Amino acid sequence: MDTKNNRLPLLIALFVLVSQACSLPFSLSSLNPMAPPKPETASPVAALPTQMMATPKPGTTSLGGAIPIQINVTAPEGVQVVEKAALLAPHKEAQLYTLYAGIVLSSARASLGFKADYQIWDADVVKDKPFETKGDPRLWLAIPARQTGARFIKLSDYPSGKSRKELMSN
Amino acid sequence: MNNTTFANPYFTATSADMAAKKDPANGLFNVEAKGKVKNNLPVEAAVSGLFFFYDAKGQVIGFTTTICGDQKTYGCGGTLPIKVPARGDSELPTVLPYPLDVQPAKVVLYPFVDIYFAQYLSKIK
Repeated sequence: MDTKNNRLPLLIALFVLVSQACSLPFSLSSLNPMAPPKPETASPVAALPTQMMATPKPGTTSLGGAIPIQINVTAPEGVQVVEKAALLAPHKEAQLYTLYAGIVLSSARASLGFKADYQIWDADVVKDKPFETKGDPRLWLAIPARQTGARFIKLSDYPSGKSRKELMSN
Repeated sequence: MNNTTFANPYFTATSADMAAKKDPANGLFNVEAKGKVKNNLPVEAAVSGLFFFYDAKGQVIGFTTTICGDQKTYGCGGTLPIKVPARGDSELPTVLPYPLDVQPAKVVLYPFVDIYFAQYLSKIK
């Protein structure tokens, strides 16, 4: 794969991942009298807002390997971000790049699931009109109280060597 | 899951090593890694691992899970829990499923539990 030429349209790719973390209804946190109270919500699912935003990292896109993407994560109360990263990685067997995100979280109380919405922009797309939007995927992530949870998230595959117009027409 | 009397942390990463081989055809680095995890619980347990690779400046340049050592069987979007004996150690291997532009200078292994882990905790009496 001629990654130098094929990846150019992807070098300037931008994605914003907006995630809303939530404790599921069967979370065991309510069984612990010492557990902090859940935030008030209209549903039995306690919403814990989490935001992730990612932008290209300048100076890291001129070679042929994975392309690191800067990612910012805002964790809900009681959850700490231990490590986070996002990147576009070349696919071994096709003219594709795969967008991955990796997060490591620690939580003061048990948490059993996250749901996330995210948006992806190509560089020449007007920023209020994302190239791709996906909503409410369930990211299963179990974090016992005071422990660490992590996910290696495969978000999407993108053809390499194509213009934005070609990508949009697929 | 919310019991705070269990060992904290459940698991401790005791080592993490990597081997980066430069592909002469394209100059990119193919990376393999392995780490050892100690189970601090008094029961057999299962642990997964997320490996982060850093350049000399401390920037993350790659990451993957233990499952990516066998992509054809499992794909690369989940995790592969590995059993660890009570208060014992296990080795977590991985292969980075994509090449890197630069040779990684450091690897860090973050052990973590998955959603099926509670069955092991239930064995603690």
